[in-house]
Amino acid sequence: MIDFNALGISGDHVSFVVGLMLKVLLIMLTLITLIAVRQTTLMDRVVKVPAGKYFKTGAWVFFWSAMILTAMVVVLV
Amino acid sequence: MPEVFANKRTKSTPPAKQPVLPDNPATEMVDAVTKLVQSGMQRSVWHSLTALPKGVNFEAQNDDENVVLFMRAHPVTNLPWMFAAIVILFIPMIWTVYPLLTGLSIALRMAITTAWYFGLAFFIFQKVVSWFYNVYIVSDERVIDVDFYGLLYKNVKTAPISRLEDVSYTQKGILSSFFDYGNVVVETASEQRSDSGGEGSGMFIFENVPSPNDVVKVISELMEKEEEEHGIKR
Repeated sequence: MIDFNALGISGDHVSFVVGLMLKVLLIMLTLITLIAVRQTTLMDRVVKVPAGKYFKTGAWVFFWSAMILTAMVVVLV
Repeated sequence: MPEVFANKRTKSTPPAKQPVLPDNPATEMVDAVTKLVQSGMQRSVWHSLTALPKGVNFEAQNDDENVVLFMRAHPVTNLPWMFAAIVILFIPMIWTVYPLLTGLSIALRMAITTAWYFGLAFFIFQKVVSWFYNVYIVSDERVIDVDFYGLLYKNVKTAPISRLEDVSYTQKGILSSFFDYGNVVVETASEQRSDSGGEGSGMFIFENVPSPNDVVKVISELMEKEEEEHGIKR
């Protein structure tokens, strides 16, 4: 394990910065999944195929998973 | 002769087995499509080239309009991003040896790994959706090119069959020759404004579609049929 203190950097500060970056990244990912939901709905409107409903469901699953994951990381980490 | 005396034992000869053709009898199919269906072409929308697909509709489709061909890029064209996904999949297995990450708390490392795999799953989902919905449709009235690039770009081009001028195809490279896919180029008489139309704005490029020669045959026959019906001179 790297000794951050020996490098003159506090290990807590590194964890804080990495944690913050992760949270920002997850919030952005959640927004992207929300855009994916909208885009999938639009795609299904332009070209109606029987399998389209699976993609719409999949996009919603990704959105809610991202929400839950982001909430867990924001609260717990 | 009264019907009672008719020989009821006589069995009528069963009709010759016909290929399963479209449910809609109003469709006057061109020979090339009939041959495709007779050759056992799949009609499921999951296939890259489908003749007379079941349950496929598009925006602004007329009531009496039938989808003749439904195409998307050959599955082989997905190999580059699949390879990238496999590489991304294995990265967390080696990053434990990376000293900066081992200095972080276990909870944070777990969170990073989970977010990594979630991002990868979403990347794969997005790629599959893009491949699935980037379609080219040939109906008995028009050709449609639906392009979705990423999440934020959509381009839908249509041209009536009567406006088509020329159709050709190109196959380049080992993979396209081996798996029989290529680009079908449809030139139209109209000048359309498009960001993705390439050099010819009234040009449709069906990228990496399977069996491009069959696609060209079908479109050519539809053009001929249209020419006969409406006396269009090209």
